[in-house]
Amino acid sequence: MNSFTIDVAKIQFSQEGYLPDIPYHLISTEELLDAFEVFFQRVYALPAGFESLQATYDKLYNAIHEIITHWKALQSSQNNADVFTVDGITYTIDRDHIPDWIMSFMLRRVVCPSSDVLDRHDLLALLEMPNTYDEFNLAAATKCAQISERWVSKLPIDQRRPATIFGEPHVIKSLRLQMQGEL
Amino acid sequence: MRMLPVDKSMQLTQLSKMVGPQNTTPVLIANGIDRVVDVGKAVYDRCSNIISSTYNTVLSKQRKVTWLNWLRGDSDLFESAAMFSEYEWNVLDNTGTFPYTLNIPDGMNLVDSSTIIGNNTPTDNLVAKEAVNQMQQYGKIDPALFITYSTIPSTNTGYVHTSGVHNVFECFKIPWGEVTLYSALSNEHQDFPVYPEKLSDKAVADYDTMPDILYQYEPWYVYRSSGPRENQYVFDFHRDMWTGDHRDGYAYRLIQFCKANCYPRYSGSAVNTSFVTLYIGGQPIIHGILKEVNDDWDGPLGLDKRPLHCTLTLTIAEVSKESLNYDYVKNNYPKEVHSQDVTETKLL
Repeated sequence: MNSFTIDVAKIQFSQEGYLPDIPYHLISTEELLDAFEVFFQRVYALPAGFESLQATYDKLYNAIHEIITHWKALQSSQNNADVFTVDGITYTIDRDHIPDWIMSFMLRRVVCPSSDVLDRHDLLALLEMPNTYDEFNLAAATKCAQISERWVSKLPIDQRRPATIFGEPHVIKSLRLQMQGEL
Repeated sequence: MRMLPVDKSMQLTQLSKMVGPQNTTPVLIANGIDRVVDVGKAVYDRCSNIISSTYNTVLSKQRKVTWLNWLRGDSDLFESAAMFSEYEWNVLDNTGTFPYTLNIPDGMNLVDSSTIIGNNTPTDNLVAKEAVNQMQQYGKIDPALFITYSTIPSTNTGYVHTSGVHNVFECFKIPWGEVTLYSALSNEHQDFPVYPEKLSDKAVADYDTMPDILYQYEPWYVYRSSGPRENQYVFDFHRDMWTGDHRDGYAYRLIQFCKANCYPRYSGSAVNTSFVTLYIGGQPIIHGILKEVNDDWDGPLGLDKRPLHCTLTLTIAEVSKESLNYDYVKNNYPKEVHSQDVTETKLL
């Protein structure tokens, strides 16, 4: 169980007000995931003007929602794993493990329009799409989606996930490998 | 009483940074605000609800006077409340704090912040009395009551403390308290805003020669006296270094204080002269009589058409409090206090 990152996420959400101000060990992972859904809809909402990426975003959001729902159901069942399909992608989840890509959203490791300007700048520099105010605009999001589609299509079957429109770690990794000429 | 103005977009993490993580929940509880992500919005919504629900309510004059008396301990809050509109009075009466602010409970230690209002300076009695009278009689207060006519900028003006620098020399670390001239005649002292340009000292000894002894390969010297130890201390300063307003007269006050020590105080037939002591960094540099004070002015002219830059030279001749002899002078030097004796050795 990725318990350390879960504890860090609980503390972070508690400080930001998504969770009550109580010691983190008194907060269950289910409560954390409920708070995460509120957090995701607020911080990683589809920005206005990005309607062309609505379909990709909906797939991402539905996947997160279903994974959380199935994970919570798994805790009260006898099974150790669950397999289900959302939007044509088959997911396998473990009762002891929340997918790392969801944890990266939880810990704000994903670059989005509301991220720190330095993080946005670094991503835009990798995308070779700098702009005056380092805005994470539609063009940057579209390019992230293209890179992400390429990346997730090569993932093993048991690690499948939807593509993203944000600057997730795998997008940044892909861009860095591209820069090094290894991709 | 202290209040924290809140922006509508303020989030819980921002509030936590301003008041400290350990104070965040107590502040919210004290103000009846839930611990939510958008704290600013919650404060604004609360004010908006009160304003809309008390739209036709006019607070009684007596109630307003009660609030004004309660705010007398902070002149900036008193002045702001005196200018309140009806909806602002309703918010204050319902929440105990100004509109769109959070009340900071007493006893809570916060870091100094330019955004906290409540200067802890009591309102002038005359102003407070007149304000209360006007409120009781007319139901409102004339803003002219709070107008002051000083041309010297006050650090307590305005509703919100700004972080703007009033005195350009606040950017520099003026060594106030480090250089002081003490006058024994009046038992007063004045601080210099600067260190002396340089420190020079000397010791002299005066010998007579015996010219009548002939055929000597070198003269015979006879000790006559030592001293005087007379030094010049030069201070370079600008009239803005005190308050930022060179019309405050503090530079002239310092110069006149120095010059006054060149004159005695007559008391009947007694003529009392002054002894001065110059302290630098808490150490007495010289104690004696002030023989000469020179002030040379140059530089641009200020708003009062007087030069701004002064070079002040003090000539002090030592009058030692102790008997000066070889052993005393040899051992009388500044010694630093170490926490550990440097000669101590440890056997491993």
